[in-house]
Amino acid sequence: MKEKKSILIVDDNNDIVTTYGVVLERMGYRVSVAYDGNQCIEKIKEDKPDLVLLDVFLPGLSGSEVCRMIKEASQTKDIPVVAITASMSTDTKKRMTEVGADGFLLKPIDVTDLSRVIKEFVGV
Amino acid sequence: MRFFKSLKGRLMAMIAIAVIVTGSVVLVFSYFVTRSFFRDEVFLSVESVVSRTKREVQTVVSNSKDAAESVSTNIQLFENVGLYLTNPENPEIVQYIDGVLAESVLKFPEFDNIYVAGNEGTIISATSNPGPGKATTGKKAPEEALRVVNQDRVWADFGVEDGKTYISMATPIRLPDTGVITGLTLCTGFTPGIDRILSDTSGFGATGETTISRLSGSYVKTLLPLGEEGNVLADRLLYIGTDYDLPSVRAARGETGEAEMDIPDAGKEVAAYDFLPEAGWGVSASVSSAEAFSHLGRLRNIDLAVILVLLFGGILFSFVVARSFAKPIEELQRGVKLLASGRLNARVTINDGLEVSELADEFNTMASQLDEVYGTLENKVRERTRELQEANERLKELDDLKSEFVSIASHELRSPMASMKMGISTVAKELVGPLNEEQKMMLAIAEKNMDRLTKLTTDLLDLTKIETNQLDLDVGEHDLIELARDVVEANEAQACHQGLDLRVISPDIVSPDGRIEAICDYDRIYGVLQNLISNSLVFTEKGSIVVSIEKIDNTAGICVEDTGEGIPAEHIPGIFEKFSKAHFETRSEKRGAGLGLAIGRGIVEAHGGKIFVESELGKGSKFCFIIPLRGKNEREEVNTDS
Repeated sequence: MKEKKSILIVDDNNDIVTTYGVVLERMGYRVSVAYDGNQCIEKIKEDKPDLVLLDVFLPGLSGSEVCRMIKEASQTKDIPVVAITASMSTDTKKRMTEVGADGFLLKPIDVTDLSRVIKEFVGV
Repeated sequence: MRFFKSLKGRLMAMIAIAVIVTGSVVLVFSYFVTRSFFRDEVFLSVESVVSRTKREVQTVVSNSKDAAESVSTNIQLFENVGLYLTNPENPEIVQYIDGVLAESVLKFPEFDNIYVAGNEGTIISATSNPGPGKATTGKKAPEEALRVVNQDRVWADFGVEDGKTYISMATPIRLPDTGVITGLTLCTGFTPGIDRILSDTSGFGATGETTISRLSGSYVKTLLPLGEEGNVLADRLLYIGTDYDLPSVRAARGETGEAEMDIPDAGKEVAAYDFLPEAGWGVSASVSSAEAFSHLGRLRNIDLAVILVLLFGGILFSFVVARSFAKPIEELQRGVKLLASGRLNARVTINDGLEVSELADEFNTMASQLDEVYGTLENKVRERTRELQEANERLKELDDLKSEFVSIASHELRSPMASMKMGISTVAKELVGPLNEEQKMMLAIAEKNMDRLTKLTTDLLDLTKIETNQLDLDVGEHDLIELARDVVEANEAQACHQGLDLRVISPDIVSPDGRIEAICDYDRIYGVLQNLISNSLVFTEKGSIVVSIEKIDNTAGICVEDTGEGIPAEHIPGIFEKFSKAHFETRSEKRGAGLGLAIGRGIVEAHGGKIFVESELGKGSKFCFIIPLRGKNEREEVNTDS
């Protein structure tokens, strides 16, 4: 049997992590969770995911810094990063594009949008 | 004195001093020069009167003398007198001499009477015509005349009869070339010429007096002129002691000269005197100094008057000149003062055509430029101010618009949320069918976030009201201790669940009946306290949360003190602002809407109170608010108390 694709959810809100987790597992992905930027970097080193769903608004390291770190390191730069933001201001979008974000999702996220974006980067 | 410290005063003083001093010096100098010339002139005129008089008297005397000598120089007379001396009893001799005399009187009308005396002095023959010089035969001729004549000289005398002057001339009767003198003839006659001469005061003052004098024994015999307007003097002859220093005495003594003399009982007089040696007479002229120098006195008075005029004229002149100099400068000064005091339209008008008017033009140019620059500046400032005001108003409008928008949006949000809440809660409570565990969990999360959204919406609405001053307080008198107990009671279950000690310290000593009554909006104050306790519950792991109430004067203070994690010092300033920095640094699950403290502060301030915090990281926080017991109108006292 083909191994499940893994997705790393980075968000400090437990409710969001839980609900996204339930949905993604139902869709047949392996889900790991990080509550802040440092945890995220550690999780990637432990087990390289196929996709990172990165909340832009994080305590401690900001989403853009985390994204830059992922994209600068040679082992991790090929991991697609989808930025999740509450505001789709051009400023935020520009900053995230600069640090190498591959896609964007605007909160609140519909389950259809979520599956479409994930399929685009990871496949079924 | 201050006047002389001014420009005008100094100029005036300088000009006045220059004019007055120069004028006075010139006048005084000219006075003394004139005086010196004038004195010489006076002396000269008196002297000329004397020499004129002398000349004229000389002529008269000389004529008389010639006539008298013609009478006496008669050989028959000489012989007959000689005969008479040896034989005085012969009547023929006397008759002869009488005849000679009668003849002589007829021949020389200037003589009124003539007599003949022998060389021992006895009068031999005499005429007895009316007029002066009548003599009696047998009597003696004057001794003085006899002595002079015996020395072969002529004796001249003068006298006054009926107020008229006469001359007596004694001449020797002698044989020519022998020196033998047998007697003398004495011719006497009125001499109006002398009176005319003495009365001639032309070129002389009213007090001028001309005299003829001669030594006669120990006296000086002096002939005074006729009085004014021909009045006859009672006595025109004076006999003055030779020791008196008078012009006539000096003249009689044969002195010649002129002097200003001090005359007893008459004061100073300018006098000149001269001497006629052939008659032994002195001629003198004198005039009172007062009169002689009266012109000088008048000159002095005129000079003094001119000096006075100069004094006043000089002051007036200097005032006018100083004014004409100082006025433009004062005008300029006035302009400068005005300008300095901010009157930028200050201009000066000076048309003296001098440097000052140039200065004034420069000043006006400068003032105009200043005015222009200021005007431009003011316009710019006005313009900028207007722009700022407009911008400010637009900002305010925008802010109002934003507040209104948020308010409407909050209301609009409530309706969809209501149906969502209803739907989710209905399904979650399995009222429409059984759910598996996963479904229950998802719905619980949804419901929880639904509630949070509702709270957020409510908070946003409240904040909007506070920011737009639309917060309406439903005030009434409430016991704050009871209020605090109500809030604590409502949170007891949660505190118990977290293992925390939540209690109220309501010091009964504060109020005898255990109540602190305050005029406030119960629900709003309840909300503030609830928010503070909620925060403490979130941030306190273990320990206690203590609510204390105090009454200080006319205010009530309520504090919530916990043993939680505390607030970093750098987050304390601005912690009561909406979405403060502290809010974003908080972990998501502990994070509220970020509006609670801002709303709390708005409510407390709307009550006329204050809210503040003390906190130490790791030890806990203490949030307090104080409100006036009698409502917002006592707000001032609260501020001063704190």
